Amino acid sequence: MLSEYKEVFLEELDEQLQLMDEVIMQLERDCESGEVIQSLFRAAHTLKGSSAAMGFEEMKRLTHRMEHLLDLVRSKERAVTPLMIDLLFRALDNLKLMKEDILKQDCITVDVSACLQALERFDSDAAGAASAGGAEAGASGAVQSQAGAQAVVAASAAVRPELSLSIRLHMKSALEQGLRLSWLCVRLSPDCFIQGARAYVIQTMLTEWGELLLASPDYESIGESVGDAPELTYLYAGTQEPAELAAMAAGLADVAGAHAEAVLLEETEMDYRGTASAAAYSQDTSGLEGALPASAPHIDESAAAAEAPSRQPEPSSSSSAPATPPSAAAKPKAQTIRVSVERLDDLMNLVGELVIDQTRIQQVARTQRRRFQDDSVGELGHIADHLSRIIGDLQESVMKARMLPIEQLMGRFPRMIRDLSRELGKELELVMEGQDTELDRTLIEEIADPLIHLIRNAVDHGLELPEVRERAGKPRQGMLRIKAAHEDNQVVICVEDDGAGIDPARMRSSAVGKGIITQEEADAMGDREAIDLIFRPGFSTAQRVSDVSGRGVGMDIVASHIEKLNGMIDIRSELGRGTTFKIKLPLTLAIIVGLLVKCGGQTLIIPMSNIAEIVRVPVEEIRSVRGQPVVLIRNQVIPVADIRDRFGVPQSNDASKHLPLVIIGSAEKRLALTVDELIGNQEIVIKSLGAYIGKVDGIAGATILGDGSVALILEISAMFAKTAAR
Amino acid sequence: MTAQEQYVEFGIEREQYAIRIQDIHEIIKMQDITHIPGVMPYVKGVINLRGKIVPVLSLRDLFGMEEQTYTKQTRIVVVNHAVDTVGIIVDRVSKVTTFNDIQAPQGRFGGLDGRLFTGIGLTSGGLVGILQLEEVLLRD
Repeated sequence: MLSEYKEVFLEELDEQLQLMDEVIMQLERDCESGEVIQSLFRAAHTLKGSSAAMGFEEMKRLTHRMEHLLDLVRSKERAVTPLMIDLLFRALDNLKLMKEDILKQDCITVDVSACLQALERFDSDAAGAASAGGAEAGASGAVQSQAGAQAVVAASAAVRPELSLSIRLHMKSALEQGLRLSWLCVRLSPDCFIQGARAYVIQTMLTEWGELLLASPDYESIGESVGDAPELTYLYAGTQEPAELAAMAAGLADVAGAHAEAVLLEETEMDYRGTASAAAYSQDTSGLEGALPASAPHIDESAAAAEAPSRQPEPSSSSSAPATPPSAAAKPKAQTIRVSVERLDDLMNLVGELVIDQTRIQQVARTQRRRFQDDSVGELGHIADHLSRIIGDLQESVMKARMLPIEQLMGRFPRMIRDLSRELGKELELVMEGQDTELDRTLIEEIADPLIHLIRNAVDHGLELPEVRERAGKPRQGMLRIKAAHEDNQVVICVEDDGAGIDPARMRSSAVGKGIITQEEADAMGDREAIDLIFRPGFSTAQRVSDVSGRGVGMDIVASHIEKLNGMIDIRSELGRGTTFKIKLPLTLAIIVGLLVKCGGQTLIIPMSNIAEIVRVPVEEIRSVRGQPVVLIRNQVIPVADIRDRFGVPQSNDASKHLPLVIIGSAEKRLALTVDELIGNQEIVIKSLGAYIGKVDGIAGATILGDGSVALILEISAMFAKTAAR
Repeated sequence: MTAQEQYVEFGIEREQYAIRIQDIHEIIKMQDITHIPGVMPYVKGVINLRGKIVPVLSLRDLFGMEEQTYTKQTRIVVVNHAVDTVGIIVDRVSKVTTFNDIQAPQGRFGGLDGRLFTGIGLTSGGLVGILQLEEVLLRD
């Protein structure tokens, strides 16, 4: 196996599979779009080429079948049916399984014969339909067949392949370039036993001599043998006269005979069914210049035509390296290189050092300015400013290099939701917004599981069955909205449904029933807190455990996952109206914006992404409930914790009447921290305390401040754990 | 063990100790130490060593001696230990030295466990405990 290409192959496979996933979904919604079919066809074709090059025979066969089927759709011989969509999805799933196999063991063990058979059966149905269509076309295509008769096709038994619109366009452009178009028919010698390879050589030669527009059969479909009549038909554009071309082809090894003839002008005509224009065109063939504008409207009429010019002739793309899919020329792609994440991490660390130094230089500049009045001090200030601008830009660039659009993740959802809703018998419309929102690649990986869980939850528990919805006076079709956006220095992801909503009363009774809280606690609980119960371990409101979310995992897993990412999650739910889960995440994990606070002379940092709000309250507003100090903010009872207790810092005898409180949130929980003084917020680089000290409870790491001192970063989740333990 | 290996000799109270010079990253003056709650008492906290967070521990505390206020002579001996860099606070750093005679540690050296030392160096000035860094740093 070509191990050095495996990586590239797998990357490409990943890309194409994801693309297919999206495109098949689109196809399901819009069966008519030629563009959609075209891109799906291209994806299948690309995979066929690269899997063949890598020697994954099964995958090649499967993608070949898919390609064939799509080609029929493309040439409008076959309409898109739900059955076909299912079949395509099935094939796609098989491809995904194959990918897993290749990843794990370098070879494919998935049995795709059933899927292949299904595709073949579908194809043979299609062939029947095609021959019927062919007869029809024969009637309308009188002009063409007459012309063919005049030219007297030599003994060639090979049926000329159908010319797709894109090939017609290619023919046109070849003629415009002054090239001659020829049909070349090559008969292989019967004793040639590696016909596929020979056909490949011939194709390659032809692409060297000129441009090969069409090959029938394509060498890839020949495999080892063409059969008893090894005859190949090519559509060729080049400078050679047909006779000259035939002679050249006949000179190749294993070729028993070759025959070439010029392509008739009618054959390049755009719309082979449009008899009126065909007639007009054939009457006035004196100059192509005159004919072109006449046929132009036809090009516009078809969506496929717009796409067609970008398509390269198949044979030439198949013979090129697998790393360059035929779409490479079609879509001008941004130039990229792949960089290992570690290298980016190193870069990030170095930038981190610079960020620290930059704050230090600014601090020095400030103190110098206070002390001296000198030109050089002013100069220092300018340099410091300039430096911080550059470092700011540098930091942003490095951060951006690690960012990926969330599309990477959201692309999976439509398929997942389609399967889910079918399985559960629910009807829903999926709305996705903000797919271009970028976030750190590690975050994208980390957030996938919680997000999928939330979506499953929304479809399973949130949305009602169509009949139930109708009874409630709502449209049968439910709505699920997944929205991502940047908000300040955070990413906000919402999963919103218009389902039944969460019933706080039921949450309370259920939690009491499960022994999660006492009746007393339940009675004291506000509606919001009751809804938050969903995040408690061992809680599930599902009356009926379904296949989908009854997998022994609860929302508490989601919450702890998000907690780990320094994120927050919020629920808004209205009975009968729906539920919204809102996740807030930091943009990246390496550099964060932190709030600097002073506590007993020590500077501490609270990650901004964990801060819900900062308030100043009169001392007497802090009350005590069963020994636990609490504060009431906007009707929410929030426990109060003193950081000084945690850090063994002596209490200051501060007599001020107002206390600054930093309300922190971790996942759904809230806690108010009392601090001595708020200093301000600043970008900081998280550094670990090192292996010698190891993990310290309550501390997420440290950072170096502008004055060179070390400040500790609070670990928010630990603060909650301690409060709960009391 | 070659007798001519170089050591950095330093003192705590009236006792002399030494660390092989290869193990020493650098010796710096006392710095502001950021205290970390909830760690071993002999770990005094962390310092910023040119952008690197380095934990600092007190040899006095480790050896069960009373803490003293830091003086002008107080130094942090920064040593490389495995993947980490660790600072060790000592009362004073005396000199770079070699030992003509190194004896295997007995069960105890002064009031300390002999395992903390790779040997006892004999000098004209008296006995010097040569620290076994692995043991010193890996105390739980």
